[in-house]
Amino acid sequence: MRKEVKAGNHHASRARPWGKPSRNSPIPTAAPRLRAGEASAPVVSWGPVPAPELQARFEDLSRRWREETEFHSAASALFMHRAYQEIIGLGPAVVPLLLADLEKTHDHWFWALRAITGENPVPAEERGKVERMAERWVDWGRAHGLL
Amino acid sequence: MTEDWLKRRFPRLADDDFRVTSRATTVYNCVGWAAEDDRNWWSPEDFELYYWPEGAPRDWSVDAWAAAFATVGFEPCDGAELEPEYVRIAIYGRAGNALHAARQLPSGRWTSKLGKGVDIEHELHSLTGDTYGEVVHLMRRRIALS
Repeated sequence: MRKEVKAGNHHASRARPWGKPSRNSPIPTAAPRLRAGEASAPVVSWGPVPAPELQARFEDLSRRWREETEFHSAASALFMHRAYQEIIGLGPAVVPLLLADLEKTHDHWFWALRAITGENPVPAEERGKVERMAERWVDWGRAHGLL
Repeated sequence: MTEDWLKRRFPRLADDDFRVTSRATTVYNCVGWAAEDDRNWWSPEDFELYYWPEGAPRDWSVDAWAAAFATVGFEPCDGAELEPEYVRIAIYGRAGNALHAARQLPSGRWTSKLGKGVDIEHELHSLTGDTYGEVVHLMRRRIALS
């Protein structure tokens, strides 16, 4: 049985849904569809099968972020870009997408993952070693059933 | 990324017989590449994510970059002319902030890693402009004799 969580009161539920790594945990995943005339309250979802709308939004934002920060070396420039901030704003729902993209591209999603999850699986001695950092996060994602 | 795309972002490359010398990679950036480190992403912010030499100030000022390069043996110098016994680096920036670094090759041309993109071989001033500013600081390090 999967649960759905509405934005606005999701912080309690957001308290690290990956805190107990188990594939059997009731992980919210699908955004409910609104009926005609229903208030369009924003809905947050997360889980291993993201809602198609979320996937499209993530792809649009990440494409824009890549295009506009391609030549930047400053972590602050990468992370403070508007599209990157919007991705962080998507909340826990986007974590599986970030992890899947990170596994494929080794792009710099580290701050977004850390900001959303409150976790940092990269030990101090591996800071800056991007491939290793990506592996640490991918391992973390697998351990929590998010990949 | 095509050469035409690079010329659009760095218009002065249009007059340079530059060439792309690597595939794009997120593994290292211009700072590490200038310091001959292609295994680390160097960035000074205190995000506890990236590499920055111990003791160097944690900001994007030209002085902080110069201090970072000093930790691996570079010292300030004046000209950009080729000296066979030295390797030179150039820091590009604007208003006191560093935005890019390049390293001189034995040929006298320069090599740059462009953010998360490719490495290119180019003339020193071909990357100046809106994106990286101007060349604001030069440093050199004696080449170790084998």
